[in-house]
Amino acid sequence: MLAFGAAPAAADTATFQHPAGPASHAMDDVYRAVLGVTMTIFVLVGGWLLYSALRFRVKRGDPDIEPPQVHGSTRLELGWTLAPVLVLVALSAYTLANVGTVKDAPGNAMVVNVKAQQFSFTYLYGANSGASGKAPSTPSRLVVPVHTPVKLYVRSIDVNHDWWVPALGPKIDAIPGQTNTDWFEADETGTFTGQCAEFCGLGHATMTITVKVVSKADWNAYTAKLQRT
Amino acid sequence: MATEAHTAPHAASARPATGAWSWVTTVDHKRIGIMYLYTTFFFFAVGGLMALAIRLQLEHANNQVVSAESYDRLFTMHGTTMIFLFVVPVMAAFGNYLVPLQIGARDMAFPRLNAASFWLLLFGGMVMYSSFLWGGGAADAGWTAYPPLSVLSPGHGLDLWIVGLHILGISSLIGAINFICTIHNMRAPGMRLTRMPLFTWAIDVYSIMIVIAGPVLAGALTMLLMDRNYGTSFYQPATHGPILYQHLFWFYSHPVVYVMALPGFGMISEIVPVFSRKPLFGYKALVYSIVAIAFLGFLVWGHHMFAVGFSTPLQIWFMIASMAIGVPTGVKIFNWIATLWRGSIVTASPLYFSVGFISIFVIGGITGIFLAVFPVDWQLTDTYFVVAHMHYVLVGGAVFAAFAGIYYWFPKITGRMLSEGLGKASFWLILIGFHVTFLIQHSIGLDGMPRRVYEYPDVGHLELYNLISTVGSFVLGLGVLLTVINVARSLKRGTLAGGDPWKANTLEWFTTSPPPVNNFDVVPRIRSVEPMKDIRRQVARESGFGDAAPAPVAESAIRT
Repeated sequence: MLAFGAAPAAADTATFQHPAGPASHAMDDVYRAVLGVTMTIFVLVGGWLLYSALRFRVKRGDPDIEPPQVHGSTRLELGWTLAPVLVLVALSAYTLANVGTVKDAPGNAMVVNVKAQQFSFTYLYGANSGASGKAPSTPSRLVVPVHTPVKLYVRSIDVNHDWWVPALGPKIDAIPGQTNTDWFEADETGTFTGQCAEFCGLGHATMTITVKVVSKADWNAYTAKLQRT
Repeated sequence: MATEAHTAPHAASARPATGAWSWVTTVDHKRIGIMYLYTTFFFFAVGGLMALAIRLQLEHANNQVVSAESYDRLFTMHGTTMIFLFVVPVMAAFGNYLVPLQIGARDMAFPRLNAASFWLLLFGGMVMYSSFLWGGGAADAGWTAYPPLSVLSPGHGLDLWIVGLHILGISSLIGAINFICTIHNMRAPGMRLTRMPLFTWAIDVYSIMIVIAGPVLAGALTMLLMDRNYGTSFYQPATHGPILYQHLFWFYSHPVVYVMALPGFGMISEIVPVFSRKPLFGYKALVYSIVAIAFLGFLVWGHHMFAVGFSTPLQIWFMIASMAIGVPTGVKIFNWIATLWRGSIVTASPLYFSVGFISIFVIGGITGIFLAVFPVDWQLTDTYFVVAHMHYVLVGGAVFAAFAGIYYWFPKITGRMLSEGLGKASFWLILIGFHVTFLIQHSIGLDGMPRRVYEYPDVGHLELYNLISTVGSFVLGLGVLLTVINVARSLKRGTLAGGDPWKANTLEWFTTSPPPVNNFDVVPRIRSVEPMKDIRRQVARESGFGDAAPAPVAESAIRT
């Protein structure tokens, strides 16, 4: 299934942004599985449709003959009812095998509280972070260490927003009145960008997210600096 | 409107009244259907122009054709217009015109109520559009209007939007009740439910879905109106109000996807057999699958809400239920193709649009699987992938069907044929324009561009992809324009159609084109799903053409 998915996905027009952590890798795996299955269905069904529409058309000069008056076939119809059921059961099973990685943060994850408001996200470090109660030095840019699971507690103080960095992990809505959780772990250092994915008003398009992933050594220096302020 | 329709040749048996006033006061389902068609296609044009404005704004990165404020209004009103003022009522337009004819009735069960539902449609649209004229401007919270944003939206644009939707809701509700009463009480002798045309079946199920779902939206919107204006707190955050609204909204709005798509399925199920010269493959399976889709359609609303923080069991339920809809949908697609298989396919415009419909709907169906699989949806939801998917479903499921319907039933409605050349040119432009516009939008979403953004940065391929999409949208617009020209020309100059130009199967082709005021002087007894084919066979037998061959005979060589 996966091998097949990789072929049409070779072009980057049909794939996610480069995944940079276990959560986004797991999503990418499921995506490629779905892509492989659906492309197979598309080629088969689309090919059958195109062949039927072209092969059986009446051309100029053909005799006007009524074709065989077939009303249906219980056996065929049962077949193409049950075959999709099997495909969908297999796809569901594969998905469920991957859900844990996408959804559940490891128990030792460092905690970051995310506050959404029109039109910015701000952050506060929490448990296991080494900088508990502190905000990043640039309030709108989240700095985290590489190879470290980060659990996000996402809240909003005004309207619905959605925290989303495509390369790192799943989207999660920030909804006033409730706390949602999300997690990611970055496999590489660098700067990752995303933006609010739930329409939130005039500034929605400019409500961007920046996550800077640093090495463990840099992180220790950074938290030490934060603790002093 | 009146003058154009009156140049078409009249049926001999009853002379309709003329003049504009006769249209205002009419209770004839055919005239009401025609007024519905003009009104809904007018709103389609308006919604389409808004879409072109949206595409112009997104044509390159950091563009400034329209302001953020105008852009928010444009996509809100584009979505609302296309759904509530075009796709849902255009199906009622075809239903109004065709259901009584297909079942051999003289009119709808409640003709005055029928007129009321049309005038409420027009009135509701006008109320909603009047918001552009007031100081506050039109609604700007998206067609989904999630609170708290929609509660906070300034001015009265959103209030007029709500009141307009209420009026449209009443219009479609009384229309639906009228369809149900008509279909269940006024069928021709011998027309059991199992001999009812698929389009009439689809309108029946469409109506039942509207009756079940419509009041839920009405309640949700009333609470929103009260929260906005009278200090109530139905949707306040402290009691999870924002989520409550989403549940109510999608409990209505997901079934509405099928309200929009099922009548289109019905049309395709009428057209494909006629132009394949074969009976519909698996009539009963198609009926069952319509009913199954409608039932499942009420159980899957949560797949629009995968990112709100549901528990895992709830996510799994909504995933599996959503995937399950793929099964009856697949049955429909396979049965349509099996109808084409080994047929004698007549390549006329209605068939082109029908095959186009099937091909696009296949893509819309399989991209739906991506969005049902919730770990994938967490990446794709609220991006342009969703925009692409919904346009494949709705343009495939409704717009192509509506165009197929126009090309198929125009001769019945006006007595004249549309131009085949213009029809096919229009088809190719719409098909190519559509794919160029929307196929690339899947990639735009995969590259991380959210929907409902008035501008985007020039990163990756975003600018190129958006440019491609914009170019496609204008090709699509040109294709639609060709059909408008085709209709305008053919109203006066089309060749005369006669009663049954397509050698069709259902009862509307039994009467003259256009039908007389009373529809039928005599209604034949119905013996199968294909009464017109039965009649043609009987005529052929009695006039001595070929031998008396019983209906389902393999390789029969009867000249029809």
